[in-house]
Amino acid sequence: MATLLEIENLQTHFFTSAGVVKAVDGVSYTVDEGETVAVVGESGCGKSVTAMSILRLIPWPPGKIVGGSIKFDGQDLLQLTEEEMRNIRGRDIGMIFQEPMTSLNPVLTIGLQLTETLMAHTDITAKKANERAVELLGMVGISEPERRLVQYPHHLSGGMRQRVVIAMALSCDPKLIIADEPTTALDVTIQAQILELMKDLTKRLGVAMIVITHNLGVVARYADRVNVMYAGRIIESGSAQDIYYNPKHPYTLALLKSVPRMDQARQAKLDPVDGQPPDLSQLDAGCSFRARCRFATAKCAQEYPALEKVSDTQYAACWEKDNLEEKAS
Amino acid sequence: MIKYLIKRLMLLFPTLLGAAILVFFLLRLVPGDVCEIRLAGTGLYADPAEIELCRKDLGLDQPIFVQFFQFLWGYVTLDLGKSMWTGAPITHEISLRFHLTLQVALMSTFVAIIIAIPFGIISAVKQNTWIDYIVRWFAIAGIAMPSFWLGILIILGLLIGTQEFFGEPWMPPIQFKPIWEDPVWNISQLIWPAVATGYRYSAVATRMTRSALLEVLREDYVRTARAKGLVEKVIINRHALKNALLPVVTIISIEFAFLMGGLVVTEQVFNLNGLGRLFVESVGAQDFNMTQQLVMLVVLIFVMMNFFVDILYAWLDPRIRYS
Repeated sequence: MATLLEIENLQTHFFTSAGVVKAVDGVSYTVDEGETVAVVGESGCGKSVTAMSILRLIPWPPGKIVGGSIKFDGQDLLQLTEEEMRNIRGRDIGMIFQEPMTSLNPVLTIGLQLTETLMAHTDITAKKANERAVELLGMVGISEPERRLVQYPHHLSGGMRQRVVIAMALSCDPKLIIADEPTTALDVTIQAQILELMKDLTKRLGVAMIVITHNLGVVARYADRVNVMYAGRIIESGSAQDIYYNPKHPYTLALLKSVPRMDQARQAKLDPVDGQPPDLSQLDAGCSFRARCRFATAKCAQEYPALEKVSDTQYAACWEKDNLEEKAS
Repeated sequence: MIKYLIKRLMLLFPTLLGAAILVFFLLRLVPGDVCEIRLAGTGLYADPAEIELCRKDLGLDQPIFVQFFQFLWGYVTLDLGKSMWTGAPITHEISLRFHLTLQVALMSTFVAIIIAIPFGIISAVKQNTWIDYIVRWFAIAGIAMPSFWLGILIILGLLIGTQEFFGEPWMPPIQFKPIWEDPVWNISQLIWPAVATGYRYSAVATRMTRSALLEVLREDYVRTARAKGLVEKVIINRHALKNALLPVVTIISIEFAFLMGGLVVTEQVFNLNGLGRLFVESVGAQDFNMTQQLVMLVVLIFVMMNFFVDILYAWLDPRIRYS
């Protein structure tokens, strides 16, 4: 499959009064056409900032993309003018946000919010746009779509709103959808529905998707490939299987251990990742995870390990990546 | 919604009654009355018998509760009575001035809105740039400057400015003519007090627009709108402004109702015979009837404004449906 999105050494920094916060510091990954890629990590690791950087929606001040390139469909998004970029947003790249309760405008009808993306990017007539909106709402499984068009977001439940947001993201047949924690704010029962819907639609329409999440369950089930982020960098990447069954970075290992699992005894204690994520404005040259790492050595304090190949599909950034298994046991 | 609005309208009656009680009894707490002022206004001696006669004539000799119910009954039957000072019917005195005050209030609201909304938007969108600083400076100056003083400056500016440019000074008309008689005359007289009061009024509204919009621009749905690839103008006008307008509408309506009763000094400066001046004169003359009816009128305007704003709220924000 052809590469759709290629992020190269992306650096997005926030210039605050407390210093430069390196929210994203040298992230590279690719997304192929029709592929679902997950970006996993705990809060504040830079996964959302990466996504917002792709759309160039980092608010300046204080945030700024200071380096790297984002090649999408053959063009570098960072070189485009604001107007060219605006044509890509919503048309070629759709975005699904975390909080469906606040990501829809409370004073505008569902219909208007759905059709305005179409109207902004295509020469469609208002009537045709309405028909398309009805079709989209039907596609995301909303009953009585005609009636919904004149309703307001507060008439719908959280799950329904997220369906509307998905319909909005799909409206212009984008090549890529970025879903930023699409299910975090939803009830568990609804989460599964929404995820199934997203998986089904992306497969059916052949849309590539970046799922940003901290939920490893989501990753295992829906992603073709996984990038694990920590403190503004990707520390491990591989297929969902690699990451789940054969993690090569101590952070991934720790993350997996912190998730409750059905196949473990009920009494088994959860094993949270110790300590706090580092202050992103105070990073040194060494590995940013070493303070919380059980395997840290003297070398980890001196140099940041590069993302190196472990197998055909898997990469990890750890000096001890080959010794993890024996040390862990 | 309809039920709510009817309920709101019903609230008008207790409000008016409360205002009636307050203004009626508070006025009578002030020593002296209209007869003393009328007959002995200059401090000279007045014949007590004559004062007694005058009181009897105006009904001031009756027990206070009888007077109160006469006032209430008159109000309910829309018979507002006569001015105790001039003897002219109050309806006549008010209707002479009401349209002037209403026109100035409407014009200055208009001035305020056309300044406040665009400036508020620019200042919020260009937050912390030189444009924002200028707008904020302009707004703070408006709040700090009393409108009557600005009025004097405007008159002086007009006189001196026209003298400089045209060789002879031009003065806005002093005699009032209603807009249906001579629109040019009318506008060229009333535009200046409207600008003087509208500027201060706009200053408050500009700052409100700016801060409300800044808050809304941080909302998630604005980010969603950006991610949809909409142009900035649509994001501001469609997505942000409608959400930010609620507090602005509130401020504008309160200021409008305030202008309907409170233009005292500005009217003086521009030699306008409006409700504000009538208010001051009737209080000075202890003209109970007139003062009472003017207060009732202003209360009515305030209540109607609130009612109108409620409807506007529901239109602006569909979540407000007052069930």
